Amino acid sequence: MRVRIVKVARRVLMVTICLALMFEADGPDFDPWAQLGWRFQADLSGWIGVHIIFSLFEICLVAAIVLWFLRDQKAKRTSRFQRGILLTPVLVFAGALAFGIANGLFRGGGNLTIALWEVRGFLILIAAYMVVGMFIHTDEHVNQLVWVIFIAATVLAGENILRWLIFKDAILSDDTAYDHTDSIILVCAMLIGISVLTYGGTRAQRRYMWLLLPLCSFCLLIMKRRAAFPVLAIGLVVLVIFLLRLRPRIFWRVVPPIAVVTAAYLAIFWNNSGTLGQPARAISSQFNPDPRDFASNLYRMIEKADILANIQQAPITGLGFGQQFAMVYPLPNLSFWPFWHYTTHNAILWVWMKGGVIGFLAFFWLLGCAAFYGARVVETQREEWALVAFLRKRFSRRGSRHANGDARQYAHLMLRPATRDSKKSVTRKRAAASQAVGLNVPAWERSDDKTSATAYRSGTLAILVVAVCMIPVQVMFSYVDLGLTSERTMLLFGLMLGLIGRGYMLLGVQPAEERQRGEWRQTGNGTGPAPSQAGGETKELVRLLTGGPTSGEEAQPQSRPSAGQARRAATRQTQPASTSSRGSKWQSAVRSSAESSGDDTPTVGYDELLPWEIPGKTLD
Amino acid sequence: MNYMLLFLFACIILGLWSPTKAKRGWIVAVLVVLLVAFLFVSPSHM
Repeated sequence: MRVRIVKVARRVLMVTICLALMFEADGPDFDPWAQLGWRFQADLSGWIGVHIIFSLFEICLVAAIVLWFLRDQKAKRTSRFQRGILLTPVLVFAGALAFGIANGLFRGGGNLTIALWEVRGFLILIAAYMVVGMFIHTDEHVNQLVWVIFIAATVLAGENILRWLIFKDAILSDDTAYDHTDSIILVCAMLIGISVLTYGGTRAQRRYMWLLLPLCSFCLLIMKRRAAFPVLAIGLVVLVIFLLRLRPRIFWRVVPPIAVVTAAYLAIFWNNSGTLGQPARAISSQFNPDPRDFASNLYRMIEKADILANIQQAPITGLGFGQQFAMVYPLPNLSFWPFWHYTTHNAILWVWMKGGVIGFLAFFWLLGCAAFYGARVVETQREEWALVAFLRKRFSRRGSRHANGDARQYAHLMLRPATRDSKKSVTRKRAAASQAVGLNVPAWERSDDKTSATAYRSGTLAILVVAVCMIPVQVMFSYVDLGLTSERTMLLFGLMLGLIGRGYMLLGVQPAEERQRGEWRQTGNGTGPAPSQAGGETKELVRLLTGGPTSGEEAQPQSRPSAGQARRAATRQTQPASTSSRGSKWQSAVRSSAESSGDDTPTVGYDELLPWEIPGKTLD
Repeated sequence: MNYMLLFLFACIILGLWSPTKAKRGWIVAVLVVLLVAFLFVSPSHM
């Protein structure tokens, strides 16, 4: 009974995420669907008459976490908490928040309730980072999360379009008709969609994109929020950087024509204020704003001047959360908003104003670490694929001048994609355990028709790329549009940080320094290697095949072993691998596959060994 | 904002193009300190 409790908790979590993203927290009164969303995200005390300061969303999130803690011993072994590589920056940032709250209270005139409201978004971010470590351990879980985001974005976009169609007369201004944070959720879904098409995903995900992308694009156009288009542009720029690194041929084939089309579009629609001209307006209004944009720009300019004046008052410690900021330069009246004196639209500088240099340092250290390690995680895939590409070329029938026949057959067995026809009676786990002989297939070359440890399709790489994209997207959005105080955006951002933190585990690879020590990762769910984990073992097999240094030994870049070393390595190859249990497992897997193909286990002894530094080639 | 975005892009590019076996995590901390120090002495660039 209790074994299933983790599954139940995961479903509660996924449903909660879906509802939180699809429902607007602050929709207009005339839309009944928006009222439903308000009830889900507002404090219960606001609509049931009982003083409960938590919303349904927060209660569901806490319920999922509580259920996870109630799991039994058996479930504890298979569903452990994964700390992730960003745990330290996240905890440091949490400490900075605690300092900011204490500073606000002890400074005098502070309000604890307001302070807790101010940091509520950050608390959701930290909670979201933690729940990823609790619940998302495998490709299957990541795919569920991808679908949750897709469904939420679809419903959100559909509802906004219906609101535009049905309540057109009731909409007084575009600014108040839609929630600020809708833009970032739709942009995230669009980026995941493009990333799934570029870096691979399941067939259903890729097909669904052709519905979701136009829907979200149209929704962004009718919402007319200026912030949406720059943040989409910045996300696409990061996506393009990844494309340049991972798939350079696609980059040179796709990006220059798109750049030309974009330049032509901007030239044609520069002064157009219609629906199609909204993306161009987001840029042109910076230089030549219309009256509406001028008023919006002016508010933010005055607000920024106020923020700088307040930062100068306490640059190191900040004002503290729960303290009002001084309006040195009077702002337009927004007294209907309870946090008018506490929270600014520029949420990035607001962090410095309230948390001081300490909070700002901790926040940007977290963002910087996420950007850096996220990029490192994705980069591991290029390294693995580059290695496989090199070996494929090296051992191809035409290209292997130096390898003897046995070695060529052996390499062919190793490098073919480990695939088998998918059957309902064969579970993926069994296939992963017994059939995974071939090594790493790039995510975009995989197929739904095959099941194996290395050829199974998933959106893991795609969403990891988007997770990194969302960091500058979030910063840019938060700089102008209250991005860090919204629970919805912080939930999404926390999930992205959580995925980056567990990126190595989800992709089934290890940081380079751990690989050098030969410490093989144990998978989170204990069901065997993750789909692309075999790529990490490619190098080990190459070493075994070619008699190079084993994982427990120090690799010697750019050095060519002597004949004696090669003989010793070949001798070592014939003995059971003692440095790594996984190495022996892979040896036996390769051997059994060779036997099933009617071949004898080949004798390894190349007259020329592979270089240990693999040149930067890709499989495009 | 430009400098903050520049910092983030630097981190991403560093992660993508830095040598495989090198530990470069400390550079992020250095970049953060440089960013904050720059904004501290030159608030007009915030």
